[in-house]
Amino acid sequence: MSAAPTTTTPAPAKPQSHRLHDLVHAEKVPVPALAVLILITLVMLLVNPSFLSLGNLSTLAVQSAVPVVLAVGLTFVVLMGGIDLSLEGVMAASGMATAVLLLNDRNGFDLGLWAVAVAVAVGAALGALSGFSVAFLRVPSFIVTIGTWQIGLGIALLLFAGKPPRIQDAGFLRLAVNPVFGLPLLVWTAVAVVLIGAWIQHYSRFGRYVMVVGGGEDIARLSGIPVRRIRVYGFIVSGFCAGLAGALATARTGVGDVGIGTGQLFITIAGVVIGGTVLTGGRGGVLHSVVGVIVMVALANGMVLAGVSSFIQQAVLGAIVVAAAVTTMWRLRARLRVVK
Amino acid sequence: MTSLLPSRKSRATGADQSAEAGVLRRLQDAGVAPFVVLLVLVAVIGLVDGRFLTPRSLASLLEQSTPLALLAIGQCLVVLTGRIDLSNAALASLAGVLLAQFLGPLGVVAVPLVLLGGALASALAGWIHVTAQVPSFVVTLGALGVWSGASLVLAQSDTILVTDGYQYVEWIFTRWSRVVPVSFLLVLAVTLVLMWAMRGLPAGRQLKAIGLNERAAAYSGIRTQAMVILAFAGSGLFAAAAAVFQIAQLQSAGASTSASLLLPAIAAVIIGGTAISGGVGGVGRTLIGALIISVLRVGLDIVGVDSAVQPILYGLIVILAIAATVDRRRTLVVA
Amino acid sequence: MTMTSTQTPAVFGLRNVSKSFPGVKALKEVTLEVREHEVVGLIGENGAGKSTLLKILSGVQRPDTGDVVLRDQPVSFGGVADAVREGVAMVYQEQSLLPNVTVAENVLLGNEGDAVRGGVYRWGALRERAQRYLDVVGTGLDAGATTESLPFAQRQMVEVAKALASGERTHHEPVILLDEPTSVLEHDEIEKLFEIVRELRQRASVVFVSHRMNEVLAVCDRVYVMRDGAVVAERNPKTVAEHELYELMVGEDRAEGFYHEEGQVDPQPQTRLEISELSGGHFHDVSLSVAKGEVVALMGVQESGREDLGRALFGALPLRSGTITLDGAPLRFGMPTQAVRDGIGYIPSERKIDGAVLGMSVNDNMTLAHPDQVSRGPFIDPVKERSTVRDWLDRLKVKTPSAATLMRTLSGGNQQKVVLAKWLLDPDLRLLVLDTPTRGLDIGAKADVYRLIRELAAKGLSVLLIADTLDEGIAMSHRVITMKDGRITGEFASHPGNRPDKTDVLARMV
Repeated sequence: MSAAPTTTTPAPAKPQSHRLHDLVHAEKVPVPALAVLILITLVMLLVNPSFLSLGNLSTLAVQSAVPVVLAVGLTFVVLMGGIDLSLEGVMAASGMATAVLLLNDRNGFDLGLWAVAVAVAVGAALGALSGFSVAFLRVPSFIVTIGTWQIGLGIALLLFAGKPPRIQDAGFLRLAVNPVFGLPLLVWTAVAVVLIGAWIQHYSRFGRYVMVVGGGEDIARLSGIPVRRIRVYGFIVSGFCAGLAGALATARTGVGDVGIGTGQLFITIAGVVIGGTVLTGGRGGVLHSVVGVIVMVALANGMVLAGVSSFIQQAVLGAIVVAAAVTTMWRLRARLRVVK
Repeated sequence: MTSLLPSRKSRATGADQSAEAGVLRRLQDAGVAPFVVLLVLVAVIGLVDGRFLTPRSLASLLEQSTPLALLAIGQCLVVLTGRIDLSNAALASLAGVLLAQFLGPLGVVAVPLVLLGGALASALAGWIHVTAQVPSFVVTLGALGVWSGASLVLAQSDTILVTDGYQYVEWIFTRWSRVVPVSFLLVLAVTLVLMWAMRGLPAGRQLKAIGLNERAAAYSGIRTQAMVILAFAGSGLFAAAAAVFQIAQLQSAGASTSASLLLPAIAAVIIGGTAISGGVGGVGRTLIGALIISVLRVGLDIVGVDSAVQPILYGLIVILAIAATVDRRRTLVVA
Repeated sequence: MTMTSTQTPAVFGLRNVSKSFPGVKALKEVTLEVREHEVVGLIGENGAGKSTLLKILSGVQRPDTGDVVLRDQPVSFGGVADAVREGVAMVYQEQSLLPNVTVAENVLLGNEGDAVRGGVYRWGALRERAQRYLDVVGTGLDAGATTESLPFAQRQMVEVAKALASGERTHHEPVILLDEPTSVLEHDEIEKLFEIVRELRQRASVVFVSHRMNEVLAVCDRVYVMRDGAVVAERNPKTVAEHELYELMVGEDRAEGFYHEEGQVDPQPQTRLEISELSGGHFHDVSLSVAKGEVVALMGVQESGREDLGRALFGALPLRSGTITLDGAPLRFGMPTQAVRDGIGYIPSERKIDGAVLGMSVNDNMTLAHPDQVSRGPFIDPVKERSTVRDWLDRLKVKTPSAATLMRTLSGGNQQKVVLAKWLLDPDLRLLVLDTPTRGLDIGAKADVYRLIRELAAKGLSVLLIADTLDEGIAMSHRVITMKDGRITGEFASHPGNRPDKTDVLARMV
């Protein structure tokens, strides 16, 4: 996986009123993803109109919360041309940590919200391991993160110790479920993460340098940008978000579950790709990924309402990951271009 | 004038000098290091628990390792070209489920059909990867989902018991003269044939050339795309073979029978000495790598380590083994 | 070479700099300088050492001996970033801008200063600062635009602005190195660039490297001429005659024996390769033919299209239109595989990247393209292989401990010979396309390659030689074809004792 090739196709545009122009131009707004979303909505109106009911929309919001948080973190890694496959494992580890540190039926811990802080720290630590291995040990990200996926699972299994820990901290569980302005705090947390993520991407040095590294790593290095450090931070952010997602998901179910993250990887990666954050890096962004993820969740939700079995759903999601990647990368094809 | 003694003079007696240096390098290239690691591991575990070294227990170990070994060998073919197949374990599960259902009605024909189906399925993934120029990990990740979903649809959450037709594969897990496991002999035979083929056919070198420098390989007229698709077909074939062995061993198949073998199989390839970037390595070493992983698994149980530690261990092994062997001359940008 | 006494002080330069690569002396005690508010031009043909010189000036490489002098102090750049920090910036031929971020970010990359406070971007301040530099360079450039939305010529200007901005780091005026800045510009864009360079002169020192004589003469205050790794002359563009510069560039003829000219045999009458109105990559409407046993040299500078033509003939580049006929049969390539099967061989200019698989053995590299030549049926015959490989290693005098040695350990010349052997294994080889095959090779290896090409041509092999130097192209060929800006601009017959004049050929190239 390498940095994006520099394109030299001269565009017909004149560089004026850049804001409006760039806004309409496909890259700034995830036009294909929005089009798919509209398509799904139209199809569901025919198949099962309750798709658009207030109750279902609220369900959609809750179902989107976890993958959206994952996508925000993953975006920073993908923008630099890497991938993080460890999301489910990190969620397992952090979710289990949350469960055993909150008031539970297994041990005497009762850390309240500090449990979430620890969970997030676990995620960030795993992210740091991934990032360090990619940036300094030069191991490709797809294989490193398969490794940290398993390491996360192993940690979860160790903490699991044979019996699922049930959370008994009623206050915490209520936060996850009770509606605030109509939606659970879960959803508002996700919204906050998106806003912070978008701000980081557009206004922070880290965020801008992530784009720079994704646009041309060698150029970045020549300009004195600490590429390796930025890579590590990117993976830490991804791990942080995965850790948070694990804690949030565990809050919903109320029990420590090693399989808490099952299925999230597909939805998140497909969402990121559909939204327009291309796997070769340098394009797209947090908001793009979020739209893409919502599309994926809507798709999954729609399938359930249409009566599609969850087993078929998995196959469909897998196929969509491939289709999304193929369509977004189609125009980059060239003779004798090597992609591994 | 050639001399039998290794000479200090270069060029003119190059052949002799190479004989001496070549032996050492050929040993190293032939993957002596993993073999030594294997022997050491076996010895250490044998010291901890003598029962490990009994013929029966060793035979059982070899038997248990065969599905993993088959998956690893298939993965090795793909990794030699610099790609990865994340879907081979899931494909093995699907193949197992299909075989379990059709072994009865179709009889022994079901086996080659499933093998062919596996090869074609992975070839499709390879074709998409090559044609759309989408990274192999993405395509095979999606394929993983499709095969898993399909297995679940067919088997639901159950395991399918094979009654009718089991006799066609039952023999695989017998022992020859009570001791030597047939299953392992089969795998060994296949490995040796494959090794011989890779050395004797131009395709073996072409695969490695593709892994080392695909552009130069293409500029030499090699059909790089076709060869990559062929490598994926091989991965699918071996995944289906692993499924056959699993059924022979367990007499049943479920949607997740083989799924957990994905990372151990990759670890086996890496530990055996095949570089993740491709071009270096081979199926013989991968077999040894598979044995190491199997021995490790048994050894951890004997020493009394929590089974939860295993995934952590595999993860660390993979990362560290690659980090230790990454060829800095070749990697330009790593993302 | 005398240094004229100066009115303005020297800002940047080289003092007795030499640089060698294995077997090749790229720079021989070069001394030159650029002064304050001056535009200095550098001309020379391929292989004269311009690119190595630029690499040393810009910090990519360090000299073996001698000094790089900046503002009267010897400096040692640890890399490009170092040089940029000292205010020496290069504007590259291939764009070094990030396409996916704003123009402002590109101009001030790594140099944002207090437009970024505490890690937070103040976009207004950033755009304003960048706009200042953009306005110096040209009107209509918008600091807030996304870089890839700009046409190529405008991106060129952004690069110049970036180079200007780097000067601000040192509070001195920057030194700006322009490497072939006009090679892909249209006519009116070139005029604009000249204006920019003249404007730059007021606030920077500029080194202008170009193959195009008229440009260098139009815009520079002084001109250095390079040849064979040395600076051979310094002239005033306003007073020197163009012809004098050409002669300085080409110099004396090399000794005749070097190119084995006695081995040149007339080509056979049959036409082997016929190209008709071929377009693709950087070349348009090219028509030429090569006879059996003929060596045709393709001469041209960068972006002349000759490299792309070579690639297209091998199937490595898609074609837009036109036809190729080999021995009467029309060809259509999807991939190099087809070309190889049709008896075409190709040696790319980037040997280490495209030509050889460095991690494999000499033996494996040699048999990569035509394994059937060392096989019996589908299997490789080890005995046949060993003897065939040994045979070629001897014939080409390849110095290697054994056939099992890794390609990586061989010298450049020997690697190239193995790559050549790869194609020669095919007894039905009909056409060999060579892209600067002797670049980077030592004298001995070059001579060997020339001798080989002669022998092969005498036996009927057709060769299309994309020559490294004028000398090589003229001496080795039966015909010299010049290309410029993607089209054929001239054709010269070339016989031993009756070679075309180098300056004539050069004039058609630049």
